Amino acid sequence: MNDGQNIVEIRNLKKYFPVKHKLFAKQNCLVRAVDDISFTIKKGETLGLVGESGCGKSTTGRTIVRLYKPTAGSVLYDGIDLAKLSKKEMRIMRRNMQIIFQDPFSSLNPRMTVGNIISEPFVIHNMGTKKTCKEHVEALINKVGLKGDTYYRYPHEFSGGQCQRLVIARALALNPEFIVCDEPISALDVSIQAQIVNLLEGLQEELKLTYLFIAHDLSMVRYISNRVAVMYLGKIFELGESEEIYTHPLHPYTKGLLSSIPYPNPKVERTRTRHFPSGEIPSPTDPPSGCRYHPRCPIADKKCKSDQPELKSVGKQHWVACHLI
Amino acid sequence: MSETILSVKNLNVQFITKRGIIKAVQDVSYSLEKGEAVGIVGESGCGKSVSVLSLLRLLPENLARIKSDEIRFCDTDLLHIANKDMQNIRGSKISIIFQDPMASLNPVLTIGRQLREPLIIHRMAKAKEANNKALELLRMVQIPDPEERMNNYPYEMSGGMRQRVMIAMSLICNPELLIADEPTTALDVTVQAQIIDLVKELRRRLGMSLIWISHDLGIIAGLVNRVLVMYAGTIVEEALVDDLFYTPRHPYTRALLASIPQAEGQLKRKLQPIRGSPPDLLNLPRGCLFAERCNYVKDVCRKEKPPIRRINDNHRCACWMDTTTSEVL
Amino acid sequence: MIPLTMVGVLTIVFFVLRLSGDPVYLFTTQESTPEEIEMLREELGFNKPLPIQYIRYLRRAVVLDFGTSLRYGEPAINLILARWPATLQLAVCALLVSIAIGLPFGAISALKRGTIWDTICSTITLIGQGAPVFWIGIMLILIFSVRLRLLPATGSGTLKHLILPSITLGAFFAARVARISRTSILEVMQKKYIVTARAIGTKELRVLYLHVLKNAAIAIVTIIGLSIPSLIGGAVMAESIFNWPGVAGFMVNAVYNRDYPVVQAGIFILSFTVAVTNLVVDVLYTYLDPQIRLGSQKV
Repeated sequence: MNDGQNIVEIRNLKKYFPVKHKLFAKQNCLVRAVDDISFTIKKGETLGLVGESGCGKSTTGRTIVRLYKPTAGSVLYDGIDLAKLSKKEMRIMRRNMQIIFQDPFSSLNPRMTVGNIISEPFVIHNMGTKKTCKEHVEALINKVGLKGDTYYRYPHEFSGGQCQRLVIARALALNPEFIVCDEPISALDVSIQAQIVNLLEGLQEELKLTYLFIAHDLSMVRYISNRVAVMYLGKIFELGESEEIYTHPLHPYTKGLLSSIPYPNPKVERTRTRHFPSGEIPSPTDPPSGCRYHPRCPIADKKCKSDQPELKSVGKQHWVACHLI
Repeated sequence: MSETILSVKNLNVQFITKRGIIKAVQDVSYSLEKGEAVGIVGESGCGKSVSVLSLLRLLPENLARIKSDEIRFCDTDLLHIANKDMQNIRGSKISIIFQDPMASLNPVLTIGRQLREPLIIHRMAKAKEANNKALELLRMVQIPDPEERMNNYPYEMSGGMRQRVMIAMSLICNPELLIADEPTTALDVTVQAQIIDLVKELRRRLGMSLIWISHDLGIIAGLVNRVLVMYAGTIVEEALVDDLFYTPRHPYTRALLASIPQAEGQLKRKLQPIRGSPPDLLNLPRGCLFAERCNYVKDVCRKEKPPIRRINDNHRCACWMDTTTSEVL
Repeated sequence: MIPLTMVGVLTIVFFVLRLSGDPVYLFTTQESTPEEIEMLREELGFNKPLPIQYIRYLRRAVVLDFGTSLRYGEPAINLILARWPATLQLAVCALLVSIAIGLPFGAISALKRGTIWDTICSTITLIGQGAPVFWIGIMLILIFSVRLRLLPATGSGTLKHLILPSITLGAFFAARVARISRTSILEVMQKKYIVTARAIGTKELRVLYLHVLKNAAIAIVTIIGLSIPSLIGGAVMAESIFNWPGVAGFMVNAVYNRDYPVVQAGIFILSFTVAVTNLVVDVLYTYLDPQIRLGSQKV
């Protein structure tokens, strides 16, 4: 497959979770975590997915790698609809897509040695002999920047940043093409975050990986992503090239979101005019009618209260879901 | 001429644990003027929280050992006063708000009850008056429908609302100093912006001094007048906010600024991570604590602890090197 | 919920009764002749098919008809109900005693954690949990009845008679209360809102009762509620030792006498009591935990 082709395609994806509020409620409440989103990820790119609590970005990532079954819609990998695969076929498909999570410590089994943890994928898929396995694992450990003698040690002997490297090593074990990074640096110290981000970038170049980078640190997402999608209460509001979105945001929410980012630059902070949204994010069990953002939107009008806007193209690779753009 | 309201000299805090003595804070000295906002910046484990919790004796008594030449607030010697006097100061003269608003409120008491608590404890108001004051504070922190909120319980409110309640609780007795220990870390970025804006506004109205602790240099840049940078329990640099960001002297400060994505309008600059990890507080190295990770390190750095150099009236740096010229001073 | 539980209990009893062979023998005595046995079988309906027996049994249970006592000749349920208030009295007093002893012990242990006080209190609690009820009872009788002649060893009627049995049963239960108090209080002390309470200048004593105990109460009440059956089990012993005229002691005798109807009635009443207790605990919850009272909707 060539670069520039779509490796992952999401079509009208929905994921709802039932939540019971009262014991004898007539209707279960539904958390509409992901509510009809569609986008594609090109091979070799990093697509950033940003949004605040309840926007559904983590759920999207997990649904793509099929940790959750979609409520509706489809996920296509390399053109193949994952829902149509048998269990066995899905298992083989899983070698291509991996996911890394936020908390490095709880991602590693504390009772297993590092060697066992990283060789687990080989064991599960019955690949390689014991000897080749060990060689592979040691190569992976080196690739993520750690020394060879970590093979026999336990996760608790390492720092957060080092553990996250081990998590990445495990994710690379089966030579995947696509990795979902679900807040991989949020739990790490600031100075360590740069280490991990650089590592991910280096690996992407070397191994021709594609990333879905989910994070709430908007500055970091801008740094690492080629394209960015902005989510709010289960919907995508804006999608486009990273620099374009950050320098010329079109959706009112995106503008508000970017306005909220504090910059490590005192003069800029003093002089910038900011228009961050007021009020609170509504609960995903009871989203507002029409455009989800209308209660907080400074330019909302009648149509916004009743009709949900669709994502439409407004320029080169730039899509916005808003009635007023 | 501004007066100094807080003066801390050579503060040392150690934790006695089974594994040994953790030197959380070593020889930290700083002061705060009336009406000033100071930021304390550093990563986890650098001692920024411990250094302010120790001022109010909020650390576990049996584990923490606090030693200092002086901790003075207005005219009170915080180091030696009796516990009950300290309790009088907490919440009324010096208030502190914490990081996790979801866990910082008592789940079985109403918001109104908890809001009135500081007034009742410090005997500043009786029941009805306290209620009115509580409502006034809820309005001040921009919580809609304050009368209804008074009867809500914490679980009924979002993180941002709870943090506003915490701010209201901390200000209800009109303290002279507000300490904020990473209060927005657990909040969404838009809520964070609202809270920071609120604090700025309240400072304008009420005039209290502020110590704001954060690991986020962006927040610090827009909020405070002066910054202290902490690393492994020591202050490595202290400067006015512009000086710190535009002419940082300490290698750690410079490295930290180089490792975070910068503001808009720049070509993509490669992030420069800081190699290695912070030192083990149980087993601190001789010499400079940053030596292992420093880009300017020389022999002397590993042997002896660096002195604190005065760069100008408001700028101090604990380093052997002059990072602008790469020469040993 | 309660009717369901009771049907469950009754069903289990029904099948246990038939496990040990022909159930009619549970209702006969040594002297019964074969004709009498046959008559009994007819009378008690044991010659009918199983489902019919079950329906009859349940029907009778609903009107509290468990048969006639083999020993006393009266309806079993009357004998049990007559003694039920006494057990209730003992249980309630014992519960109060156990909280009065256990809670302070647990609290001291938690607040002075790691110090000598914690060790002392924990050790006493440990001994208390290990000591059997009858040992405590007999020791108390020895000291207070025999040696000091202060309190009566058996019987009932006056407040004096209530003291030793309550303390015996209470002391037994206090150990459990102490342990759960300690754990619960320790857990609450770790919470961030306790730091907040101190940070606003609250004095330690107020922190303890307004913030710590109010929150710890939820877990403590839960465990006490779940342990009520254990209390009843202890009551069996306590009533036996002190000859306390309650249901539990009476049932012990009934078992010895193979007075099956009485045993059946007793099981029913005790199960019912436990079920009601759980209900009471649930209701108590709604006062203690606002999230349960008001539902978990966010505003």
